[in-house]
Amino acid sequence: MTKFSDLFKAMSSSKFRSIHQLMLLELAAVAVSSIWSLIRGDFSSATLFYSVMGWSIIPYLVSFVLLAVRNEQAFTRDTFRLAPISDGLFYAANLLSTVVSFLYLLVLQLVLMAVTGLIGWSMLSSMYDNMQMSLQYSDLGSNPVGVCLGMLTVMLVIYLLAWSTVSLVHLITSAASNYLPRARQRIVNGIVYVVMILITFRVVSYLMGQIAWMSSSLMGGTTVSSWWIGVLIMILIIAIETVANIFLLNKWVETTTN
Amino acid sequence: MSNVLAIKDLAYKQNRKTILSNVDLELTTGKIVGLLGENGAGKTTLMRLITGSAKGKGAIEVSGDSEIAKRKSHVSFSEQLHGFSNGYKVDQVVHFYETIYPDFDHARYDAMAKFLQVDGTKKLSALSKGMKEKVVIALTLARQTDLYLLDEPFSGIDSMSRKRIISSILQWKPDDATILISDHYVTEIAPILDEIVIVKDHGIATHIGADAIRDEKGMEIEDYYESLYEDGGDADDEI
Repeated sequence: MTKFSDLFKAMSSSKFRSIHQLMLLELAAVAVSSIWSLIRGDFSSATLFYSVMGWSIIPYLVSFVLLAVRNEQAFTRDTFRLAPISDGLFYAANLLSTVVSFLYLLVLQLVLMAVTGLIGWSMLSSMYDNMQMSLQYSDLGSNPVGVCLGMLTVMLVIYLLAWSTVSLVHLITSAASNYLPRARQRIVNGIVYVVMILITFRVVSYLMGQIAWMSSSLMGGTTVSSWWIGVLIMILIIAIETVANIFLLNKWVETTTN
Repeated sequence: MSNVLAIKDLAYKQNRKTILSNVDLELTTGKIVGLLGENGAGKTTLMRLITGSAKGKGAIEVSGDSEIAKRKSHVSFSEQLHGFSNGYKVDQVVHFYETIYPDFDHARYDAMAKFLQVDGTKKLSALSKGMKEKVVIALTLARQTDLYLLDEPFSGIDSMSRKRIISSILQWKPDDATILISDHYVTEIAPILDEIVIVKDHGIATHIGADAIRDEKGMEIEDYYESLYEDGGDADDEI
């Protein structure tokens, strides 16, 4: 039988590979835009930092989609599904490797920001001092580590919720496509997609409300316990979706044929 | 000899169309078995049901285990590496196999790769169809399992590669393991088969020993296989 740690390692390596490719693209974009600044004559020691800050949004967005695709591929490819391990552990290894890959991207981005920030420190230090002063007058200044950890937790929970919802839609359509006559497959898939998109829109709008409220709670000092309730609701939804996904994997979801 | 595979009353439908029904099959250890049948007869589906990749109704036991996860640990299936992007190198695929299959024997793989002239530094995208099939065969046989499922290992590849693959199957088959090879070109594999199983009309039309075909029926496997289609009926032969 395959160990959970071994499957996690194998699944992570293919996802890390995607992250490395993304980082290379980002570095290329930073290099090109910095060279352009040099040509225009407005290059300074802080240009690299500004360039990294500007381009970093792209890897975050693309990695979300890319990791979701890799996550879903594992459910329907024999390459992964033939591993002798229970469906529950398989699902956990897949999702955990996706989360860890995303955290890895975050770390790489932080390193990149730190390196380019140090290069341009002579220009950035005054901006940093101003930021420190303005933070001292806000609630964020009283507990910056706690606020950052809180934001990171919220972001991870939101990403987890999004990935498990994508899996739910994918696994439902995958399971349905095996049982329904070919003629009706497209109609049913279409209906499932529309229903799931509507639900997703509702969930997203709810989440956006939650995020706005949580942000104001964190910054404005409303009760922390009510902030955690929002997170717990999302964790509960993830747990329900996880049970449903494992059940679908175990009973109905087949791999694509060779 | 004990059973390595026991299938009872297996049925499978896809898109409401019956692919297999009332399938009963038992295979003993240490054999090379040909799984024969026309295109679309259900050979690949039967293999996918054994591995748990397809979900059917009925009972399947491999080496006494019916639970899918445990069954998978007893079966090595020649999957076509669709989970890897084309940028992957053969050595990286080997590393993946070594990581997720505790029964993967690297030394055995190296010996097979050398025999089949597989270049580990090549990317999957750079492999010809025959070379990719050789990689798949080497990966599949490098695992130490009770049952090997080779799904059409010779389709679309040249005769030299076919001969090398057949030689590797004979050379690296563990004595107590069973190999089930599916194909619709009987001539290629007939000389190495101990038994044949023919899938026809959604079920097992016959399961018979190669010696019984030659000695008792006085026919070659290919002739016997073709006669089933000429007669249009089941052979009622069972081991």
